[in-house]
Amino acid sequence: MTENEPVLKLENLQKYFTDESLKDRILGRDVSPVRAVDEVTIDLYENESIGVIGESGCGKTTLLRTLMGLYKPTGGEMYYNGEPTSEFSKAEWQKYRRNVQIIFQDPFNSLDPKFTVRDTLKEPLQVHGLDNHEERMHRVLEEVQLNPPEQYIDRYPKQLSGGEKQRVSIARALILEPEVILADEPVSMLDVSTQASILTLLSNLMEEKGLSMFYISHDLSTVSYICDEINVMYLGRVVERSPTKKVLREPKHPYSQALIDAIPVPDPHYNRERTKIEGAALDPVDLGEGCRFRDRCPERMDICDIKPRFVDVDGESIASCHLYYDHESADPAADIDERRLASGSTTSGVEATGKAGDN
Amino acid sequence: MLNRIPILSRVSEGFSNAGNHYAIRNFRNALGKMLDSRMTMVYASFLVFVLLLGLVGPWIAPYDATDRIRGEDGELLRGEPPSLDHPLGTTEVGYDVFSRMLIGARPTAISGLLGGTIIITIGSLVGITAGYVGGRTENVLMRMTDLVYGVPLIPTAIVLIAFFGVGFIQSILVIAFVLWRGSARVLRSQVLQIKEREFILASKATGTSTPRIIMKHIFPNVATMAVMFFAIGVGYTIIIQAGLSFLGVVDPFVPSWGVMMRNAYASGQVGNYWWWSIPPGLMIAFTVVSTFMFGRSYERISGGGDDEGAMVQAG
Repeated sequence: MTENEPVLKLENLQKYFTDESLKDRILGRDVSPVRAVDEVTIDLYENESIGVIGESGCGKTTLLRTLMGLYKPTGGEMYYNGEPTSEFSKAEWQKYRRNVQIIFQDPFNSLDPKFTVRDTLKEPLQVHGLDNHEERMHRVLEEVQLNPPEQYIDRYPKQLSGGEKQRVSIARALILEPEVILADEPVSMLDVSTQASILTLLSNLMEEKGLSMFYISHDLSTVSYICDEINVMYLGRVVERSPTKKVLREPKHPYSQALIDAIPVPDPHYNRERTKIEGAALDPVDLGEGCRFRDRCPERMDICDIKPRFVDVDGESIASCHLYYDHESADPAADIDERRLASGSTTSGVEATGKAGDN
Repeated sequence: MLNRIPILSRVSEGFSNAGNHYAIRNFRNALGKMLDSRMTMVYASFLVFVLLLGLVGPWIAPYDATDRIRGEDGELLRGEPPSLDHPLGTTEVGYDVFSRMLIGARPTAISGLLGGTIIITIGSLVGITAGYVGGRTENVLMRMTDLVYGVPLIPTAIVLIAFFGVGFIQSILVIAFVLWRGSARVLRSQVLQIKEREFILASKATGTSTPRIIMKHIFPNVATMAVMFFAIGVGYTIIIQAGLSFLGVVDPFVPSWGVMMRNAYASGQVGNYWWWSIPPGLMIAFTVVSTFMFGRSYERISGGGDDEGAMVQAG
């Protein structure tokens, strides 16, 4: 791996689900796809941790499963150490799977009830044909602070507490000494004191082992604890990307602002501003072009029917919002054209999309 | 994503090395727990008793199945009521009922075990493959199952036996090739549930092969249910075979309990010789109830006990 090359690079990654029945196909009906993940571009560098936040149904889980290689992207490309995954051979996928490991949200579901801790940890070792099983298992259990390992290794999941189960899940992810950890809300099902210890454990491990982490959550407070950079996702698209501190202090996109406003403040006398957004997120079907947040946005303008560009707001934050660039000076003619296109005339929709996609 | 075609052959290959340690370990754990439950012990001991009879019955029986008993005066003892010499009396043609009961345990045990084995083998192959592979494979397999569901068991059995010839083994095969449908359906739904759980995804994400996931994760997690269906299959095969015997479409020369009832009925003396028909009837009833209850409690104890619906769906 060369210097400064991202370990994992997503380029306009797209995952649409089309539920086309035989009848639709015979009648030649067009079924609108569910745009679960739409043109997501993220770079993950070595020893960096990137957070993706967003409400339920915004495509976080689909993104994660695409990253795991469980779904095939319908568009865009995913690069692992510079190699496009769409051209991976079986052996390369196996290598990818060894180096990209996952920690799930629900510790009660992420361990096989019929497996002891030993079986759970042994499986990845057997699949990848590694030796020194006992030694590796003991070492990894010590790393996740299940001490002494002998006391835990022959237990079944039902004999472990929630926090201990999650430590075993982390151990399973670490035992292959991966480069990247995908974490799907790894602490959201744990109580608060356990959350803190698991988060500390994760961030220590990252530092010690030089891991990169892709952390997915809906909970800003845990994300900010562990991530360097946060991507805010709404209905399949990333709407803002900023360093963690920055997004907490001055969120740019109206949706991020609403998210930050919604973080509870542990002071009963603090009179915080109520969030201004109402309603629920739409289904990601037939959204048309334009900003996906436009129906709930307190700052809604006419121009929001056009897909917003990604603009660099102040050198640190990148937001996809019309509030942050001057349309007049950019290219007024093009924008007006696009507006007309978006409101329903026929030709060159492709062109408009292409333009909007340029950051 | 999944390699669809070779899966069947590889799964069946996997079954042969199913003697892996944790399958045995889980079974032992569950068995240990069952010994704590008194009612389960009663059912289990009755089943063990029937199995033992099946093994040694013909040797400990005082008379052969076809020995015609004559009294001291050389006359056949027809329809003799129970006495010390003949604890369950004799039949109309002078057979010793008690001996025939002991001898009849073997065909009953054989038909139950064979039927149950075939049922659970086909049922779990179809159910697990359909559930895990999904897509077109699932569609084909489950429509096949639905088709079999449309088959009325007893009339079909009679017709098929007419084709293949009246025989002991034939009757078991016919029953088993219809009754796998229930287990296939329920096991498929179980697999559908399990395959979405995160430990399967984690295993996939590590690069575990499909046959290995099925053998190591899916099968152990539906095994308790499979054991229950095996037990139910044993019970069903026994009782339906008894029904077929009574209808006279089973080999009358294999002295199973069902055939004994048939003979008693055919002689026209059921009302007079109660000792001839009631004991085999009770034995069949007790055996079947025991297998059902045994399977049920095995599943309840080792499966966590939250599957009330399975027994109902099994019919």
